[in-house]
Amino acid sequence: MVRLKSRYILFQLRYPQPDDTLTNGLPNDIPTESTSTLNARILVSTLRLSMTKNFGDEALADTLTSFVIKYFSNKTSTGIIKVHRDALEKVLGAMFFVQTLEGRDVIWESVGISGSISKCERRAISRNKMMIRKIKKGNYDADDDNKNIDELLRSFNERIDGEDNDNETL
Amino acid sequence: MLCDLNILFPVTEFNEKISINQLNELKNTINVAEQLGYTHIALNFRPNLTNSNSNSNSNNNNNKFKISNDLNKINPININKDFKEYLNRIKIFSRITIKIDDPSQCQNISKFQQIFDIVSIEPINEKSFQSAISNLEIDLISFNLQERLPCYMKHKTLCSAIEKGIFFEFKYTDFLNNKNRAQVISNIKQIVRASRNRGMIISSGCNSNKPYQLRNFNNVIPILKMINIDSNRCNMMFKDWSLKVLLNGRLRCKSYKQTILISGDDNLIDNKLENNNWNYENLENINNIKQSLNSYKKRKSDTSLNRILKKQK
Repeated sequence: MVRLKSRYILFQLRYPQPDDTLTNGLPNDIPTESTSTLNARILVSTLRLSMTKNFGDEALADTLTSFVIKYFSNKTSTGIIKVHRDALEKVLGAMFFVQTLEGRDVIWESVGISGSISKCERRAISRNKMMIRKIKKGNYDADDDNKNIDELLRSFNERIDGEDNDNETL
Repeated sequence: MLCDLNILFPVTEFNEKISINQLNELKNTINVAEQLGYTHIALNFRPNLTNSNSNSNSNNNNNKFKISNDLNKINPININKDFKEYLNRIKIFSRITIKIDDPSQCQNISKFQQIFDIVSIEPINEKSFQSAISNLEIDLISFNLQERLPCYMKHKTLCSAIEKGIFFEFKYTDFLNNKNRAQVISNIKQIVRASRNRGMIISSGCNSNKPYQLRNFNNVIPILKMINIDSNRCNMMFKDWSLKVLLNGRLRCKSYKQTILISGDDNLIDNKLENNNWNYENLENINNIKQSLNSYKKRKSDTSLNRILKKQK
C-alpha cells in the first residue's frame, strides 16, 4: 500500500493591462486583481476543460481525485492548488494552454511547486513582502504618486494580514 | 538568466518609424515579460523583403537597392532612445529575421551583422536552407512551423549547422494557436530528431499587441517534455543556449578572428562605448559608433609594409 503522493502548485494569475496604465510610474509587478466572481470552482473547471481538450480523457482521469484549490485570493490573484503527483506535469501544461478566464485575457503562471503546503504559503508571503519592499524603495516625486503609494501600501498590508489569517485557518 | 529572443517588433518596413501607440504596446509586452522573470529580450524585426509570388528578379533587385542606401537608416530599433527606462532592469537586444527563398538575396546579410545583435534567417525552400547553413554567417535559423518544413531534415546538414554555431528556434506561441498544432509538433519532433537534441532554443514569438501569449518558464517546460526533450535540455534551451546565441551575435561585432578586445583593467569592454542613440532627423551629424565599428576595429594605416601584409592574406 503506497501513500497518496501529492504536490502543491503556487500559482499567480496575471491580466496584462491596457497600456494607458503604464504611465503612473509604479513598479510594474503589482498583480492585477481578479473579478470578485472568480472562485475556486471556476478555476478548477477551466483547468479540467483545458486538460480534456489538450491531453484527453486519460489526463482528465488523474485530475478527478485530489484536485483541490486550497487557497485563492481575488485581491492578489494568487492561489495554491493540490494535485496528484502523477498529474503534475499535465496540470502545468494545461495552465499553459489557458488563455482566457471569464472573458479576460490571462497568463496563468505557476510560481512554485512543493510537496508540502506550508512551503507554498511561505513562498507566497515572502513574494508579497518583496513586492512591498520594491514599492517602498521606488522613487516617486510627484505628490499624486505618493498618495497612490500610501493607498497601495495600506491595501497591501491588509492583504498580507488577510493572507496570514487565511493561512492559519488552512 | 532567462532569455526570450523573439518579441516581434511592430514595424515591417526599413524606413518606417515606430508610432507612439505601437511603442506603448511594445513596452507593455516587455513589462509583462519582465514580470514573468525574463532578463534578456530580443526585439525581432521582420522586414517584408520577399513577395511570395515574386518570379521577377527585378523586383527583388529593387528592394536590395533600397536597403543598401544608408547603413544608418536600416535599423528601426533604437534601444537607447525608445527604451531608456529599462536600462537597469532588463537587457534588450535587436534582432532581424529575413525570409529567404533565393540564395542570391543574401548579399545584404553582412551589412545586417554590423547593425543588429542577432541575425536570423527563415529559409523557405531547401536550396536556401542549404546555402544558409554552408555560406552565411548567421546565428539562428527559424522555420514557419505551422506549415510543412521545406525539406526532409537530415542529421548531416543540421549537425554541420550546429557545429558552426547556428541554432534552431522554436516558438511556443505556435502551440497556442488551435490550427495546425499537429503540424507544429511533428515539425519540432523532426528537428529534435535530426539535431540529436542539441542546438535548439525556444522563444515566445509573441506579437506586441498580444502580451497575454507570453508564458512563464515553468509552464513551457512540461510542453517541451511532451515532445521528448529532457528537462536539462529544456533548461538549456531557455538559458545557456539562448545566451550562446546572444554571445555569438555580440562577438561578431566585438571580435576579429577569435581575438577579443579588453579594456585596460583586463575586463571585457561592455556596450557603453556604443552609441545606439541615433536620431533620424539629424543623421548627418551623428555617427553611430556601433555601426561604423570604429570603436572596435582599427584600420591599418596605408604604409607599404601593411600593404604587403594585406596582399599575403
